Amino acid sequence: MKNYILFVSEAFWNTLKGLWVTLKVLFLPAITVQYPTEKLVPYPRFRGMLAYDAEACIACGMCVRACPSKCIALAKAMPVPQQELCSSSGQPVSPEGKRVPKIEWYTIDYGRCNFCGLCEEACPTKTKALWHSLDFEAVFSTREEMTRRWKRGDDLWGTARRSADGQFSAVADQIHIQDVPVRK
Amino acid sequence: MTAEEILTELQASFPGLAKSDAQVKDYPAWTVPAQSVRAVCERLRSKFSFDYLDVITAVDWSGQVNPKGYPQSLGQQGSEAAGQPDSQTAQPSSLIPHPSSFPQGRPAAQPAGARDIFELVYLVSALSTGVKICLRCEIPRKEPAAPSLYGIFMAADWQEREVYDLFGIHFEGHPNLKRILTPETQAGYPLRKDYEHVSDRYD
Amino acid sequence: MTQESSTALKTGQMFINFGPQHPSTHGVLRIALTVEGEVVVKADPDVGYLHRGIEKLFEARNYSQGLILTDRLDYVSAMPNNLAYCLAVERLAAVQPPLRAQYLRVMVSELTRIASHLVFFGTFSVDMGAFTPFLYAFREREMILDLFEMLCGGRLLYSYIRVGGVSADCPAGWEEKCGEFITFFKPRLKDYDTLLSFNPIFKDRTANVGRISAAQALSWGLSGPNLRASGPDYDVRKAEPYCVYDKLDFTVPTGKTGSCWDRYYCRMLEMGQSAEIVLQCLDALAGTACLPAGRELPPGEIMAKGVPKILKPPAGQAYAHIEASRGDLGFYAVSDGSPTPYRMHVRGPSFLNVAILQEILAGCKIADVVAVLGSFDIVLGEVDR
Repeated sequence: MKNYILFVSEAFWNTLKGLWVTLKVLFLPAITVQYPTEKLVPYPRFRGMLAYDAEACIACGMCVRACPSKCIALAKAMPVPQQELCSSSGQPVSPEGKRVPKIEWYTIDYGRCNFCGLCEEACPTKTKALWHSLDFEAVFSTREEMTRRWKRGDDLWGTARRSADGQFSAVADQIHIQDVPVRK
Repeated sequence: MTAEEILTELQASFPGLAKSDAQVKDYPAWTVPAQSVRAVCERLRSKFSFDYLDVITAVDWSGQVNPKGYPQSLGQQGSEAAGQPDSQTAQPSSLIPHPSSFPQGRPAAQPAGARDIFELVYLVSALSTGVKICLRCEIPRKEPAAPSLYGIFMAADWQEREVYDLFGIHFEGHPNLKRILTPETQAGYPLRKDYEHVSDRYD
Repeated sequence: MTQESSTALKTGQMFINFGPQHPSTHGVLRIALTVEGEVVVKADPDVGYLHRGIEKLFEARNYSQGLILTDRLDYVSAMPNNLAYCLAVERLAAVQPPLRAQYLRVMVSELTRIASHLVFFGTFSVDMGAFTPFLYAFREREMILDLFEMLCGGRLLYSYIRVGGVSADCPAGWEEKCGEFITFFKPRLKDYDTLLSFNPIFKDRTANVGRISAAQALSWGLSGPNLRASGPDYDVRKAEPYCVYDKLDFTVPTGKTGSCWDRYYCRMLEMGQSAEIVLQCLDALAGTACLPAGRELPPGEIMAKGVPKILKPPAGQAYAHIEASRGDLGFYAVSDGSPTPYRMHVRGPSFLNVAILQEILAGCKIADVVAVLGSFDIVLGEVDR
């Protein structure tokens, strides 16, 4: 009985000591971020959703070979006449008139993506055509939607496959923490 | 006591024991006949205070084969969107050389192309002296069996079950030799090089 | 209860499935328990629910792609997995990473050890019915994850350590931030002791529960804190120093009885030692620590020279093992000279740690099953591979 009372009092005293630790924290500023209204901006090296720039891509297929889960696929465009090889600003892509290979289409299956960054490291273009953006808020409701496709002229987020009819349409309701994803 | 001294002492009673040609980098490797694995380990434990069994694993030396064990859809998900040329899927199989293309002039214990054996690899160590020894033991691929180390090292219990599960090597004397990682309904032994994945309801 | 129904009650052995969807199995582990009243008669752990065939998958990927798979083994502490894999491949290919990369490797694996033990601390306390420590543990863990995010872009699965070095040098301000974290973290260990370690209720629940003798632990191949709690001071960092551990000063905490509390407290002490190691590495990176003559750590030199993109190690075998957060993690790699590994075997420490459950759970009370299982700190990704 005496031992029992000793134990209970000791436990009570130790609980008070533990409460003192929590009491000290009570007056510190909260570390919780109220997520949907406040958003943390990840560090520049963060590996978020893959963004793709069809204009910069030279369709070399290095990313396809580097990917460990084979989630990337692309098709090279047929050689096109010089006039069509102009960027949106009207400047020729290569002034010497050299033929720069371009892509026909480019797909990433996010359902397979490991977010490992090997594709980005493999990308040989000066300004990476494929890179991990800071976007961490991609939401998919079906597996079909996880496939994104880019064609020349598409924006960085490409088009997603609609689960209803399997056709690709612009990504409408994706929220981005920044309008322009960081290019590394 | 160094590994060489132990080896010379053990060789007196186990004539089949020899230094392995193929070294496991940084660790001495011996080849042991399958039937004396248990006796050698028993001696190592009782006499040379080898008290820790690191690894039991196996290698199938039947040579690289086209990895048909993988679901065929690998890398073809994206191609469903539009007919994708095969050359751009870069299947891993294209990177794997045919056994006949193995470089020549390798040691005899290494695979000269395909060899019809399994190799069991045991890593035992004496924690007090820090000696770690790799025991290698070759067994035929047909009805592969080896004595179990259950009872000498309890660590052998699950590791042998794992080897049995993935390679189909039978460990004689193991009291509870059944599949451990794959389901009981699994057909075949997945880590064998000739394993082919049979489509089931999970595919 | 009426007289009739009480006589109709049968007392006998009962079969209980503990898991696979039980909150305290930390994953998908099923333990088939045969109980008699409150006492466990027979326990049969059933693993494999998370089996992904990673060892087979290695054989279809080249060496740099295989690294991604190692992250998925022990996903609570992915850095040491990367490290063990890279050490094995480096031994195969005879690559020597630069010294700066080695310090970075040690640093990140010790930070991971802290993060992993914090997860253990949090979840174990939740298992034992104390919720508060969980919040503290995850507050500190979040800081480590921020450090990793800054360093390599990943928060859980890093793929930071590469064959031949590391993927990136530390960004500006990272070392200061890391030092700040350690100064913040070290006093917190005392808080944890107050909150949980020496709380009589917690001690009553864990001390002398699930005791493992030293001989038992060695025979069953336990490693890491689980082994050291029983007495043997086997630590790969001391026994076979890899990277730069031989240049660092730290102790290996051991327990005496091998009970749940010893296993728990070993990890608590290890966190303090890891913090010390990180401090020493920071000194070395900043150039204030005495390094071997002529060996400075030039910034930016983080990759060994001449490592090709498609690595083709010469044919041969190599085994490399390290002290991961959960114990002795080893990779047995076999190369046949092609760009893909011929065979890659993973010795997951958790796999062997789970195996002993069948022996020590017999005779425990059902309530102690949770304590024993929690104290082993298993990660099923590594058990099932």
